[in-house]
Amino acid sequence: MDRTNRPFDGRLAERVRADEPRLDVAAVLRLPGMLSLPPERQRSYDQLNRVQVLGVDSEFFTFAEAPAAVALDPQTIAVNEKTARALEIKPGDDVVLRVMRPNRMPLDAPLASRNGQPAAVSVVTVAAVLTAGQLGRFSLSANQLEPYNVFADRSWLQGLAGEEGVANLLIAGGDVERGDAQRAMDRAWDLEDVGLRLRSHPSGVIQLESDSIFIDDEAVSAAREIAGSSPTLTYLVNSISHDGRMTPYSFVQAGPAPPGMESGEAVINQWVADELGAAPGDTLDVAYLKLLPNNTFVEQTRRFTVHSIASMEELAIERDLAPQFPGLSDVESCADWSIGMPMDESRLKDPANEAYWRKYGQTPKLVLCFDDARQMWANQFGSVTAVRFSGSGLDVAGVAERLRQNISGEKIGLDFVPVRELGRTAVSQSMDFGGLFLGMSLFLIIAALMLLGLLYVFGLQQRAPEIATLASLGFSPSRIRGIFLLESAPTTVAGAVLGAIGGTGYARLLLAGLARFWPAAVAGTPVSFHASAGTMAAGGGIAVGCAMVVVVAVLWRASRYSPRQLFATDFASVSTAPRRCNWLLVPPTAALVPAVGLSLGAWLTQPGSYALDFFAVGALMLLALLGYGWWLLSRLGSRQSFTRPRVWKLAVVNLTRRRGRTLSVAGLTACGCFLVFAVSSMQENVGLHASDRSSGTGGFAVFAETTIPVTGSPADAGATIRADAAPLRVRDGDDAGCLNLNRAQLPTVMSWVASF
Amino acid sequence: MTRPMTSSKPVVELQGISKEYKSGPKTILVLEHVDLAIKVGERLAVAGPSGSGKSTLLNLIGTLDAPTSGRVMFKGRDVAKLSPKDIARVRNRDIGFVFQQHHLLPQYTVLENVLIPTLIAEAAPRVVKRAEELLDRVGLADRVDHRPNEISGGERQRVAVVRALINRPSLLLADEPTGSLNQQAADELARLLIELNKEFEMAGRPHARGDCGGAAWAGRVRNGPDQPAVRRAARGEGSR
Repeated sequence: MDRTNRPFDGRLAERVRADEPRLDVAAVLRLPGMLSLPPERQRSYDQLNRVQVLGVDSEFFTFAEAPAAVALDPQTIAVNEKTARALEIKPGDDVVLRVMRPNRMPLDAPLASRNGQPAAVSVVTVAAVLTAGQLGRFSLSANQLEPYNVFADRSWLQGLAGEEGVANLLIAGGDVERGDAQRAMDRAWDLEDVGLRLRSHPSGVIQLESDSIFIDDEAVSAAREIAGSSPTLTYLVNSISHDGRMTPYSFVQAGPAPPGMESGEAVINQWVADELGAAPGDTLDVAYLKLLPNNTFVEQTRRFTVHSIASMEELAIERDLAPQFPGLSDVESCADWSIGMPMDESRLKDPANEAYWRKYGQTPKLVLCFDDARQMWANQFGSVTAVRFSGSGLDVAGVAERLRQNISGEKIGLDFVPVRELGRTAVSQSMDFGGLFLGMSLFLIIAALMLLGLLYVFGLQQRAPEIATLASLGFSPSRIRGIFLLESAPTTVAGAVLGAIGGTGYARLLLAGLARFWPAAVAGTPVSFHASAGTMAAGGGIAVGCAMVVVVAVLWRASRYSPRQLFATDFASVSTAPRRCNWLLVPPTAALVPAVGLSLGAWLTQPGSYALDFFAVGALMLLALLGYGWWLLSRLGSRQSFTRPRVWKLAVVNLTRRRGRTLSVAGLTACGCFLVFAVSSMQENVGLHASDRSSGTGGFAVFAETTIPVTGSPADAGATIRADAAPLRVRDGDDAGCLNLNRAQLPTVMSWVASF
Repeated sequence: MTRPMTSSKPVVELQGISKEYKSGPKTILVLEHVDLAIKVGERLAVAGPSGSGKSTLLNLIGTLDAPTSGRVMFKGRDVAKLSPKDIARVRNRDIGFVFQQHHLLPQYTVLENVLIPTLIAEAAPRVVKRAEELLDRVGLADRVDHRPNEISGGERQRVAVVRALINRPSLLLADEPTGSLNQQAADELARLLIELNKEFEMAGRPHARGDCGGAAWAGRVRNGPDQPAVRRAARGEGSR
């Protein structure tokens, strides 16, 4: 259960375990962070960003295959092997750890506090390096890339982050079905675990509030099912103006409308009435910042008609019940206000407003109808800052229980996600490179078979008199073929077995070399060797089958000769009799035409992938050129004796003497060269066309990721690097890029702005 | 003395046989309209200068090659109409061929080389006994376990003769069997061939396949006619 930015009480794990003893549960505080070397040890590339910092207790390591006997004391951490390798650190080394403090609200949300630092820093000592079996590779994503992991004592990390006793991740396991685990969670959680709290007022009103300022829609819906409930929305407007007079930065409360008040009307307090000289019936202009979907604020103004004036005493309850906004409610002076909205410093220092604040605090200056406020100030974070319950028979415990019953834990983020199952699903739907490798290997396989055929023909020619003798002694062609097949079979099978063993060893060596010397070639993805008896047997069987086909083909060809020809040994030499051989041009032309056609078609249609066309054209061109070669050798071979002997003519005669062998060697070489060319030509220089919008980068040559969210104008970032910059908001998930071979189940989501 | 077993029925008959080879743009006519019949009990010598077509004629008789035109009839059957399997059967059971270069298989022993034709025709151990007797007859009893490269040229040719006779063929063909031997070895081999031919006849064992009643061998003749000449030898006479 992952509530990254919505921490809950870490004791929720104990409550769940108490409800379902078969369940192993551990609470984790998971924070994004950075790890760097101390200044005295710094060198280039001495900082790791986007480190997963995990505050854990001893329960966490019970999930490991080989639990580490490591005690994480305060100021000590454990890292995984990838992190240790990246920074070249080992147990005993000091490093600097920065973690992002959990923020229940995004920094740029309206009314979110900007006070305090978003990150906490501490120098820590590496206590251990954890292997994969010790949960060093812990990750909730179905990615192949190992994350940078840091493990710290949960209590210590909570203190560092300023969030005592909280966690934001529960991991569970054991011999329990997911449904049972979820039911245990449904019974164990309480309102505080989802950042909700109930406050009781002496007037009898009970108010539901959220740590996130805005209440989840799910919680609002659940609260609205309780009789006597009413939503409220509290906002800070830029100004309230009337007849040339203005009061800046004012709290406005919206809730159930007073009797007789309609939409477009407002109740002002006495102070405002005196300050602006307003009376019922007068119009007020309320200027406020509206948060747009692209995460920018725009000032808008709306006009209201004064419905009535409320005394400060009448609004005292509103002051009591006003939600607490960190950065607003907990400061003594307006000048110290710091929230997720742009504010005019000169207006913050307005003396009258300052005096109001000191005397009346968060007493709303304006009361509006809830619907009017929702129209103006509802945003992606919510539209309700509190829900009030009033009525006889209501108490806090009762309301809390009703809310628990009405709220769906799954909809509010209190649900167990089957990460192992998702991981298995991602793997089962992963990209299968078997077809691609088979296609690329096809030329190699063909070349190997051609070599086998060449060697076998050569051996057979040497044994031609033996074949002729057997034929003369009465062995039928089929019997002779059978003898040679019987002779070839054991060597072929032995070769396949040795090949399988040798291939296994070679593959292991290759993977070990990749991992050790060239991990960048696989983007750091850990690649391990895996083979099954079935696939090896199938591969060996296919190899034997292909080899025997070649042997049979060669034997069949040899058996067509008469014993007399075989006794002559050089039976495979071709006759030099001139003959018409132009018909030999037909087959290669029949291969060349579609090759040219496919090439033209690919050039004209610009398909997304050229792989199929590439290999098809390559194969057809090979056949065509070999065919033309056969014709050429036939022409050259049809000759009479030299009238002018030359050394090079000797070479030509030898070439034409055995056309099959000559072209087999040529074809063999062609297959090898084609494969090398195919691999080397498929490399894509991403940087070359990175600025093209049609490239895979979308026209962005550079992208930057931050560990801690960056607020401010993207134009500022762009100005710094003298380029256009577009901000993206990222929700982390499975990598859906081409470097992740698994099928992303919960992909990373990026939100963009219109100018993107 | 037992009467020779002769018959007027030919074992093999060549009817209008021609054979030509293409060499470059030329066509060389080696044999032209040859008619020949070899009867049971006959011994024939094919003589002619080098290139006159002696080996070609023997190859055609022994079904090791096919004529360009004409027919080769073996025991009344047109060889051209026989399947490869039937032709192999004829070569195995009815024809024994002694080559000039012996063509023993180097990887097998003397005894094994002799027994190779029997792998198809007959089962051991009867055959093994016969092979050993024949090898003993030609004076190679103590060489049975030697490989061809461990015996002399004359001995190899004797092995080849035994191999040709092991299945008691109807027809024995020898293509310059002494061509690669020295004079003494050649004389010995020639005597051996005649003696063995007589012995098979003298044994008088009617055998569906085994009466070695016919023999033909080719030898080189200096200053002879262009086409090979066939000399029929009377029974009991030898010819070279």
